[in-house]
This record gives sequence, structure tokens and C-alpha cells, in this order.
Amino acid sequence: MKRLKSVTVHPAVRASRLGKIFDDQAIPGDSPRIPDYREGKRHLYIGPKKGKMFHVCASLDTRYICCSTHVISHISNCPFECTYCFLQNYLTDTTLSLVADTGAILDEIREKTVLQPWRLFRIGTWELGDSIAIPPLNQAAAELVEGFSGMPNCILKLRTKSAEVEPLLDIDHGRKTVVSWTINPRQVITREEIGTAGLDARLDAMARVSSAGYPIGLHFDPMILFPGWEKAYRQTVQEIFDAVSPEEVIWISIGSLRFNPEMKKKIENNYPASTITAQEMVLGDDNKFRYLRPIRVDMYRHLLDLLDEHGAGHCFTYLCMERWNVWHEVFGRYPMSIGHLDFLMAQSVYNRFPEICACKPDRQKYLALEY
Amino acid sequence: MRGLSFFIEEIDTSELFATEQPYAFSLLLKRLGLWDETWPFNSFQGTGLLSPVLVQKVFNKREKILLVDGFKRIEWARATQISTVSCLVIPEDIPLADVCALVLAAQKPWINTPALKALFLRFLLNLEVPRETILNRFMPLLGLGPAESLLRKYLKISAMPETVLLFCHEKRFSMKRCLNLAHHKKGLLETFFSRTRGLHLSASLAEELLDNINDILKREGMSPEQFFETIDVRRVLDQNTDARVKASSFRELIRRLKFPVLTEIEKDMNQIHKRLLAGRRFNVNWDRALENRQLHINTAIKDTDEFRSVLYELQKEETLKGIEALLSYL
Ligand code: SF4
Repeated sequence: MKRLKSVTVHPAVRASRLGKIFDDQAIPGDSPRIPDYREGKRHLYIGPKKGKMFHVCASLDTRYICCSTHVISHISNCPFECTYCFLQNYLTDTTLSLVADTGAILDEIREKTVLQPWRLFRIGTWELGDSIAIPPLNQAAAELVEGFSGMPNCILKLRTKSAEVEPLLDIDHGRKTVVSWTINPRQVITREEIGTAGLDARLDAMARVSSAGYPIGLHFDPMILFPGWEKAYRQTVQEIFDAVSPEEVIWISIGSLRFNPEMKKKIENNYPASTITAQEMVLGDDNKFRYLRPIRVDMYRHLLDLLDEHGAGHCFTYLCMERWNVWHEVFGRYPMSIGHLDFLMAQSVYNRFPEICACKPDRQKYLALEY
Repeated sequence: MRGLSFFIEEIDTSELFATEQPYAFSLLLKRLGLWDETWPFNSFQGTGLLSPVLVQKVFNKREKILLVDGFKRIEWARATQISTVSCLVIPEDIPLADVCALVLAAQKPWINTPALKALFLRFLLNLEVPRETILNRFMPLLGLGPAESLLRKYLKISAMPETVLLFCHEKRFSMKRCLNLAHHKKGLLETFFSRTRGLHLSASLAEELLDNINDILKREGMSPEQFFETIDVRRVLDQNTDARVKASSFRELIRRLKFPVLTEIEKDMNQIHKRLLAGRRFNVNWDRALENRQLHINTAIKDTDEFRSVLYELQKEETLKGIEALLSYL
């Protein structure tokens, strides 16, 4: 990961804990609004909360069975450079930005989640960047973790490809935060996840976080096809469960590489050495390229078998951005709707981690949810 | 441009050929085969006027005569053994941008496609016309907005091999289309356009083929030359058939190489369809990307008898078998 070139802190948040971190080096002011995606990664801006920050994941698409996670969009851009990252085709202001008003964010979440006390809200902070990649992102995460420990029907989901877990270890999290890692074999990390922590560092961090009592989330998403992928994923799964117990894994998501045609061009321009866009992929009616369905199904089934072999068959495992037919081919069954999947996840948490989900999920209420 | 004071002078044509000519955009068009051979002679025949040859005299240690406009007329004069020509001479101290504006004024009727506009912008940049001037003066003269991002796109286009720019010009490709081609590496563009000369290529087909070949090369770790020397590719390109037929066989081959699994499945499904479901009173279609598990069965009827026949055909054991077999792939 490259070093930051500048830090700008908005005067309104200079006195906040996060605003003070870079005290002497920070330039006071508004976002420098860097237009170049890769350059933007090297300029940090810490600013105040503007508008609503809590909403349903923007990828939710009713053609797919989505996990309907909620997100807080207080981070924008990321210091890492995954070749497949959709941010390269999404952000206009590419400055690496962080909102410092954690208290105001927590208030907004409380206000909304209190209206549906029966519902378990899974709330991620990774929509537009890595949750804890560098200080002060991980310090902001720590503030959220403390805030979530007192929210009865919410789970905070941190998701990362880093090993920057230090600020999370000695705080009161009340098991209400799931720390998750995006996982890929070493070959993929080296070639496609530029600047991120290596697999060993990720697994070491995972073990430390697990020892600190946090439930762990695993995201095999995007799975990437390359010669020898079966063996490489086998090795990776083996190493994961050498590091943590399946009992501590709250959920596992699986998905495969996908991008739209404009993104394909962006990837080819930004990362000419990457070959991920050159595989046999077809354009679906959501205007995204994916590996051919039979190939994806093979990949997912292979991974499921590996999870089974390592005693993680009972962890709640779901597909990301896939249709019912793919679910059916992979699992032999499928959720009836997005609400149904939401219910199944809540039910699994309730059964396996009762201390996190105090209230027994009511199937009818989840099924009646509208998206 | 401020007022210029010109004077007329007899210039020795051989002097012009002895000097390197920086304003020779016209010669670039000649190299591309884009000289309008009838101009300016048809204009002379029609109006009795021949626009004057424009030169600039510069002194740097020794005198040099730079031709600004009239390359074709000078060539013609030389070919007809005319040794001196009366030229309009422009002052030495006229700013570079003003000279370029004269070049543009003379060449403008031919700079009528994004590909040639791109070439002209590159020509200005090579002459070291300041970027600001290109943006604010020349882009509007070429009918383009003065935006840096647009200039960057045009310069990217201009970096393509000349043969490709010529292709883009001849097919009158839009800026976006040219830019899509410019996305590919020079080596691939050069090999592709030289090896597919005998094919009838539309803009979209060229784009599709290049995109797919690019993916195949990356996937297989091949160079463009190696790819175009493979037996399958040579067999299609060396065929002695009509340009359209060749283009369509080449497209099919590239598709098969890019989508090996999909084409195999398609082949199987088409065979099932042909064997069990073709020639009926209804059509069966499916999502060719294999994403949606759905068969679309369409029919059109005009009376109840036809409706009965359709129902009868739909209920046949053969139909059910066909449907079942197709669904097993979806
Ligand atoms: S870690 Fe996530 S947000 Fe960061 S570059 Fe990679 S894909 Fe993008």
C-alpha cells in the first residue's frame, strides 16, 4: 500500500477524536475532490456527516436473491487497488474520505432500526471502501463497534482485506460486531488485490479478532477463475480453518467476479497485466459480465464441498447476486425471496449466536418486507 | 489572427523539396491515399482561379522556405518541369498558431471525420503548439468542445496506427467507435487490420472481433502474430470466398474460441431443438447467455382449429422430451 500524500480535515470536525489524529500534518479545509481514482487513494479527507448515511446496499436487485444487508456510507474509496474493484467505475470525487461524526451516524441508525425492533439489521461499512484498511478507518470502526454493542437488533459488519485490527481488540464489542475478510487464494491476492494484506497476515488477524471474541464472517467473493483454482481454493479453505474454528464463523458468502462492460475497459486500462477480464464470461440482463453459469456452479459447489470437509457445512452460507436457479443448482433449494433470505440469516444467527439476536425471528414479518 | 502582410515572390521548387517541411499535414493525407486528385485543378477549370501557394521564409543560420499550403501544386509543378512558382510569402514572425490556422483553413474540407481531426490535433501537438491554444482555438475550429478530456480522447485515437486511422476514416467511425478501437494495443491493431483486409468489416463487427481476440490472446498468452498464424485462423482468412462470407466465418471462429464452453452447449441445444422441436406451429427460444432458466414458447393462431393443432403438438411426447432436454441445460 502506498503512503498518503495529504490529509485534509474539515474545520467542523477538527475537534473530534478522528479529526485530531493527524493534528499537525492535516490541512484544514474541504475535500480536495481528486478526480483521478488511483491518485484519490493517496489523499485522505476527514469531514462532517452530510445527509443520510444509512441505507440498503445499493447492489440490491430484485432479479437476484440478495442478502439485503444495510450499509453506512461513511467511507469512500480505499487505499488498496484490487483490479476488479467497482469503485474505479463509480466514484466521481475519488478522495479517500471518512466521516468523523460517528455519534451522528449511530443516532441515524438508532432512529431507523428502533422502528422495526423485531428485525435483525446487518449493517456493513464496506459499501464504498475497506472498513479498517488504515488508521483512521479502523479507529472510526472502533467507535462504531462500541456504539453497536448497545443496540439490541443490529449487527455491525466490518469487512476488510487488511490486518489492521489492533484498535478493535481491547474494546467492549458485546459480540455485536462481525469482523469479516474477503478471502482469495494467494495467487489472486498477489495478482489482483494489490496492496492488501497477504493471506497469512489476514488469517493471523482473523485469529486475533476471533480470540478477542468477535464472530467472524468469510466472503469468498469474488471467486476468480484461473488455472489450478480448485487446488488453490482447497489450500485456502484448509488454512482458514487452521486459523479459526468454524464455530466462530457466523456466515459465509460466495460470489464470482462480475463487472459491466465499461468497467471491463477501465480494468484493462488501469491494470493491463491482469487477465481476469479475458475469461469466458457472458453478459447477463443486468448488464454485467459473469463466468458462464455452469462454470460458476462448478466453482460454488467445489467451495461448498470444501467447507463441508472442514466442518463448516453448518455455517450459514449464501450466494451473492445470483438468481434462484443458481441457488437451486448449488444448494438444491433456494430462498423464496429477498425477505426470506433475510429471515433465514436472522434465524441462523438466533440459533447459533443467541447472545447476538435476542428476539426469535418471525418468518411472516420478514416475508412481508418490501424491497 | 491579426492582419498579415504578404508579398509575392518567385520560388524555386527544388528549394522546397530540399527542406524538411514541418507543416506537411497534406503529405500525411497523401500517404494515407486521401489526396483529392482533382483538387485544385477542377476548381481552376471551373473558376479560372488557382489558389496561391503559401510559404514562410525563416532564417536560422541559413534561409529556409517552409511550405504552408500548396504541396500538391508544387508536386504538380515539379512533375511538369516548372522550376519556379509565384508564392505568397508570409512573414517569419507570425506566431506558430497562426501558421497552423492557415494550414487548417486550407485542409479543412478534408478533415471531416473524427479520425482525421485526431490526426490534425496530433500534428499540432508535434509542432509544439501550446496545449491551451489547441484547446481554445483549434478544437472549436474543428467543431469540437474545448475540453481537456476530449482532447485526451482524440490524442489517444491519433496514436493508433495509420492503417487503422484510415479504416476509421473510410468507415466514418464516430469518435466513440474510434476510441473503442484505440483501447487496443498497437500490435494487435496492426496485425488485425493487415490480416483482415479481405473481410467485409462493419464498425461493430471490427470492435467485437478485436475485443474477443484481445481476450483470447490474454487468456492463452499469445502474441497477435502467433494467433493469426494458427491453423484455424489461417484456414478462414486464406479462403477464396466473398468478403462477407469470410467475415461471417471469421466471426464464428472467434466466437468459438472466445466462448468454448458456451458454443459447445449451444451446439447441443440447437441439435435438440432441431431434432425434437423444429418445424412446429410454435417456436421455442431461450436465454442464449444461459442465465435465466426459462423457455419462451411463442405461437400465432387465427382460428380455433389452429389452436387445437398447436395444443396437439405441444402435448406430443417428443415436445415434452425436447423441452425437458433443453431445460436440463438451463
Ligand atoms: S478492498 Fe474493496 S474497496 Fe478496496 S480496492 Fe479492493 S475491492 Fe475496492
